[in-house]
Amino acid sequence: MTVAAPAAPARLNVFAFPSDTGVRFILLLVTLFSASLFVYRSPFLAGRADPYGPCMARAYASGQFSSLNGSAIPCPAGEWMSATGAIAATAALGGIAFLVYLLMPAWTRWRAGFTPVAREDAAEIIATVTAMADQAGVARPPLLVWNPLSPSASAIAFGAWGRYIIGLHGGLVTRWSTDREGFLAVIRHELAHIKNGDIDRTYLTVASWWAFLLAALVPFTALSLLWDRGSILGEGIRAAALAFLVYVIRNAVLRARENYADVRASVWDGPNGALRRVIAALPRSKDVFSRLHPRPDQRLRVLDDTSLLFPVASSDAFLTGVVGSVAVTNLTNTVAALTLRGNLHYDIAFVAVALAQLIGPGLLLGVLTIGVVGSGVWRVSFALLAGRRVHAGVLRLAIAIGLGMLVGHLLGFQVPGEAGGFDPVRLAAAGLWLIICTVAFVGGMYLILRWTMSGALAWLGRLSSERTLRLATWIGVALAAVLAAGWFGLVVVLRDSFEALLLLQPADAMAKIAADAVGAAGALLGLVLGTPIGIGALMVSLAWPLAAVVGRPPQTATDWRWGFLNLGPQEAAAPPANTLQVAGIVRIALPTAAVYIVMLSALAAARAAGLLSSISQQAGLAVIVGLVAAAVLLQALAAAIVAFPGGAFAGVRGLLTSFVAGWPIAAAQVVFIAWLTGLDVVVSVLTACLVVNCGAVLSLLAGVPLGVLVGRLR
Amino acid sequence: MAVHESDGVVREVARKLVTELAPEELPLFRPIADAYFRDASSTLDQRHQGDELLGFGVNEAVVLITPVVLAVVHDIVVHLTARLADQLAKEGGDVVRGWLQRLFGESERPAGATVPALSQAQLAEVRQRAYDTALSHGLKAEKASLVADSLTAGLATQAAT
Repeated sequence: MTVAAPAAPARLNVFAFPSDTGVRFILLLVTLFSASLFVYRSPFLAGRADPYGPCMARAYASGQFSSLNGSAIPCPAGEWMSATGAIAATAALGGIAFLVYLLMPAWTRWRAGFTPVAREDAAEIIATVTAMADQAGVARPPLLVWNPLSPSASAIAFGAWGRYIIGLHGGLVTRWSTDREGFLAVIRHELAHIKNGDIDRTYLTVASWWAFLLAALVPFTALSLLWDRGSILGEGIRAAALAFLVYVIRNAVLRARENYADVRASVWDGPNGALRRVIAALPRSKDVFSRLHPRPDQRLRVLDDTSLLFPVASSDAFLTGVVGSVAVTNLTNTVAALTLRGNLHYDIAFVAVALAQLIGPGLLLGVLTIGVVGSGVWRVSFALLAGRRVHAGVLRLAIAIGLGMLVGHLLGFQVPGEAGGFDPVRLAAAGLWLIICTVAFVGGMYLILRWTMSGALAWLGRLSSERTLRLATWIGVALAAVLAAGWFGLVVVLRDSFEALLLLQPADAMAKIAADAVGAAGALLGLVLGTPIGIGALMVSLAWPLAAVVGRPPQTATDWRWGFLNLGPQEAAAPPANTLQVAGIVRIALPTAAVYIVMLSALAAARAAGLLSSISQQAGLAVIVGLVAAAVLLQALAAAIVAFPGGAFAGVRGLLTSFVAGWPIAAAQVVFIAWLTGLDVVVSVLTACLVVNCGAVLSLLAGVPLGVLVGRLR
Repeated sequence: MAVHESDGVVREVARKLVTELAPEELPLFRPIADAYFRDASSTLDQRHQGDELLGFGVNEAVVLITPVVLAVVHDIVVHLTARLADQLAKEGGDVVRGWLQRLFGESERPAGATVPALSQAQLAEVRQRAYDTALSHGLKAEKASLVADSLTAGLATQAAT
């Protein structure tokens, strides 16, 4: 009996994009790494070294960090040793995990009672499976083993390091005679696991979990019970939370790949294959927590509509935030601790700590969040372009990441408290500050994801092969990661510095930390907005989506076939026309610039008529500031007008409008100020950069949202 | 329960029954029989695998009758051997083996051997024993009945010739 798939539009090619499995596997590795660092640096395992915070606080309080005197840091060598030891232990844990991974095939064979299938017993089965593996493009035919006594009508795929094995249970072998198509469907599913690269990831995941459990968690628990039961509430709960996090991600990795294997198998199985029937006949497992496969009805839904695999789950975004934040805390603290050796000097330590704090968190968070969520945004953008009913949920994802980062920050919270605990007022203030920073994270992430989506939408309709798709995806994701790294780095520094200031005594030590951090953040902000760096970033941001449409003809349905599975005679839909509408942008931007130039001309005329000849220097400065403000506001207004119709490109169109209007406005302003005060190159560059960059920032933060909001209200 | 002397007979008779009752299990017969003669009790303990890593999902278990058939035939062979031991003891082990093969239709009657036929009552007793053994090893009544019937049909046919 064949259960026919309901008539549906062509299925989207989920294999053209980075899969959930790979993404979750990366999350797991980062979680394991940072959780191991945390456990190995805990006082129970690290010999009660001085925590980083108090040591640094003493350093600041002693004034040693305020002068470049090259004196030694007053931190004990134990801190450095604990960090070095933790890194070595984490590396050893990785080695143990790899060893377990290599031993797992032998363990699986022994546990399941698998023995090689003899040619004399099942020559036909061996020949068929070998031929199927060859057709599937599996480079090395898998070894066939079986347990003839096992009544399960199932099979499993396992192995390591490129040597893969398919294990047949006796019940399945009987289907060779009673239900040949059913037998082949199960084998195709197992071959799909091999083809999708699931085996190494899955068994590395399991091996890592066992290595973490045995080499990190068990010693931690044992030693904490032996040495200091009172601290279990602090360190122990945090370690338990991290272990739970690893476990949750482990299970997500283990479940995620089953749908992909089904879809891959269904491509080989063809429309008349038995895969749907065999899945439909599977009993529904009642075990919610430990089951390793999605429910049969869920599997069938995905088989019929692969676009269900395209959106990014909020839980993944949330976990990414948690993992990223925990990793940042543990990694930066470990890196910082490496510098805190008695014989290291202030300047080296300062540079290392500053780099670790300024660049490290942003880079790590940016790469991780955009790597996980950004690639998913590309997937879902394609589903949207192809007319599927999916929700990109960019705001939802940004909120999930922000909340995850908040939870991760609390989980990795390492600001040392006073003996009597924290002052409630300070605690409330710190909480409020954390909320403000979380909103900043969410806002920045939302804009970056919107931008990522605009780039994806612009490019996806113009790509004609999977190869160019991969290239475009990685370039888009890398650019977004750079943007995210900058934003996250800034917010993390501000968040952590003010948090320390608000919570810690003595205030004078922390005030120095905060002052340094605020100064650094201010300098960074000035560097971005007042120099061509910001303009460069802006140009790259705009060039990316624009490059997809300039000089490229729209794709036809034939060019877009890479995006669909089992197309057969039916045609894929042609991608929709691009909606950037550059001409419309220019029509708004240039008149905006003209308005400003007219305004400046009026001012120039007034000065020429002697009306402005007697104003003070302060008033003159106010005029210049006012001119910059007016220029920025006009750009934001133009962006709002362009963003009025809304749509996926509203942000990019608004930004582009602001940018196009900004240049003539800045040029006119430079000329005007030079005429007023004489030509000053520094002032001219600063003014031009401020006009263009601030105009872009205000357009993004206020102009575009306002335009879209008004458009929706109407 | 030692069956070394009659391993070959049990294997051959069981294979014949499996060919008749569950031909889909034939590819599994040799390894299952090997496992049975190594450790009969663990062979009969069929354990269904749960949800496995990179498996297909929790599938319905198939009832494999080969181990049960091996156990039933084994039991009947031992039983008949014991019942006829007195009569056949004089004729030596090789003849016992030859008689068993003859009884189950696996070879020609050995020259000079006296092969007693089974009475209807004895056949009924063998059937009941085979049926009970099959049931005790987890076969459903219908399947157990089929196994017992096939086995005794073979015995009756040989007795009649």
